[in-house]
Amino acid sequence: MPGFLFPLGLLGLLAVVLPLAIHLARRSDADIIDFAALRWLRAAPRPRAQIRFDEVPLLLLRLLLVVLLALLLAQPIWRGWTDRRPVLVVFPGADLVEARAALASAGDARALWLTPGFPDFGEIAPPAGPVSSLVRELDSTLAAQVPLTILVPGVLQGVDAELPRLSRPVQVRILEGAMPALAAPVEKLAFAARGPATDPGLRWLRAAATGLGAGFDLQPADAPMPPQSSILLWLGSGTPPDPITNWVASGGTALVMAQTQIPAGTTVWRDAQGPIAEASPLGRGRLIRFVRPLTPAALPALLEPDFPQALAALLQPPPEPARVSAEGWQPRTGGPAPVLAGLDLSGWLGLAIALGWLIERWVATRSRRAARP
Amino acid sequence: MGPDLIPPDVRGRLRTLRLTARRAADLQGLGLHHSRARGAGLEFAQYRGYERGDEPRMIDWKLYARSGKFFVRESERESPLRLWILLDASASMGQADRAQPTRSRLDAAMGLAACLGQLAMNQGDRFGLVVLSDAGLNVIDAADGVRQRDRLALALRAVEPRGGFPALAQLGPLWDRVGPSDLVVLLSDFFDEGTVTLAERLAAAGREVLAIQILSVEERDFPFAQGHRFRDPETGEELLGDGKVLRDEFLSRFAAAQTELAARLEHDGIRHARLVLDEALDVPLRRLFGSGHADEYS
Repeated sequence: MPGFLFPLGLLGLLAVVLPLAIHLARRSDADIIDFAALRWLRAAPRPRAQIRFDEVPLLLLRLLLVVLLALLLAQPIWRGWTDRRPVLVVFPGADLVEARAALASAGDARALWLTPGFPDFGEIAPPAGPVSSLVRELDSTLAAQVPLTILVPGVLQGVDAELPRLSRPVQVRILEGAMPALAAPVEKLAFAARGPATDPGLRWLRAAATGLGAGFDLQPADAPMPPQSSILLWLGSGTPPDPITNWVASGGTALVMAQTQIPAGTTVWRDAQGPIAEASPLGRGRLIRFVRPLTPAALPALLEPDFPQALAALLQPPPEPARVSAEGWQPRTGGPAPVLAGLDLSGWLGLAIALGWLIERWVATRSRRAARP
Repeated sequence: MGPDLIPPDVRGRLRTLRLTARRAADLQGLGLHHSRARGAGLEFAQYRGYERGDEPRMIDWKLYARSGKFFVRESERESPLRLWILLDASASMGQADRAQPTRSRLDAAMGLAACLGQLAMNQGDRFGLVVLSDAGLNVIDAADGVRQRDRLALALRAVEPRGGFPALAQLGPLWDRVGPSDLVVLLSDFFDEGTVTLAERLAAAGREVLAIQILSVEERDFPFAQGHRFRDPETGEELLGDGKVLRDEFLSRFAAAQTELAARLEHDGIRHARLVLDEALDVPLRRLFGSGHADEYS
């Protein structure tokens, strides 16, 4: 049963007036013919408003093209069509030999890689992706009652914190092999301090940066702004000037001192005596303010050995754990039933349009054709 | 229109044709037109000096022997046949087919007039031309001979299709010149009522009238398949129409109008023929003057 994912695209059918207008027989600029026997011509009464078209076959071809284009816009699908074959999905990194053996024993099952796009299972494993999310996506694209078997290596990489809740029971089969670890992109911190060098907290922050192995660059308040990847240290008091707020709003992270006045935020770092820092969003960036002065008396955490790490965690949260043993990773059932889209007809439609366009060009550029629209 | 108004092949076929008048056939006697006085110089009129173009046999050699100068004997021509070529020069005559835009109705009419003049000249008859236009009549008085033929050709080449058919009141000079038993050939498309009326009146006044209707191929076949803007060249009226739609209706109505015209002409004893622009010029002439035609009316 055909259907449309985007029925508004059928509004493109209004474009059929274009070829109709092109092919409308233009009588207003018809060539003038001297015809002395006009009185016998005029004696034939005839409705003037009759609409006529030139070159009807070409017009039909062009109308067909426009209709096909409108259908393509509406993203046609064939709803009734489902692939009922059982599905074997292989995690990248699972042992290929065992996977092929499992596939051979599964009969007519479809084998896919669990990677974005779900390519057919083959020799070369494509790069892995967020597997929990992919399992959910795969479940939602399969018809109900299609058996799903997941072939996983002993240790999974790239899972998220929750076990997937799927619409069908899933058989998880653990194979040999190991998934490639997902390299978490960790960027080295770099601090760019702006403001008077007399701030008492400066030496603590410089020491923390040294402890983290991060760069530290102190410039006067009116120096050019650092790149967005740096952490901006604003040492001034009062309200931050416009260049600072603009820089933060365009996606940067700034650390300000207790004497700086910014809108109150949420506490993101606390110790036994109370909040240490609070953060507030600004545009696409983030403003983090120490609520206490950076002195050992006011902030004993400065003296702790893990202060640099705590500061780094505040500025650059560590990646969440994504490794799990396959033993305990069993997707649960009870998820929402798949809303099955059906077979996407866009490819075939595009092919038909290309073919129709070629035919249209051929017809329209024939040498026998008169000089017409 | 070439340098010669008469195409060579037509000129060749003209030799077999003779201008014949119905009434002339009534007169008893010998010869083609049963003239009472045939040939040049039977009834002496005058001497005149020789001019270039005169035939040597016209020279009076005895007078040359006496005077040492060439004199030509002129005689009264009493041939009963006088041919008047009436050429319709209204704007509708300028119409040409799109397939052959250089050959207009007027070109065909001029060719026919030249053919008629040639025929008349060949048999020594006098012939004249009246160009009918509402801007005024252009009359070449009847005469005979090579010079008259050249005068005719010269006048024909000056004709421009313009305006409408003259009103009957403008036709006074015509009645002054066309004698009671003259042969009148009217070349027109006969779309204008005035043309038919003129033919009828001439016939009613005892002139023998021949009508040659000149039609374009488009009027006969109506080969239009697209939408066109049809314009009447005389009134300037325009009609937007699609050829396919108009065709059947036009052809039937036009045929009916032709039949009615033919009936009117027949009723007044006007011999008529039709020339379509894709036909040879001598087709209507053979139809009118072909062998036996004169006799079958007598």
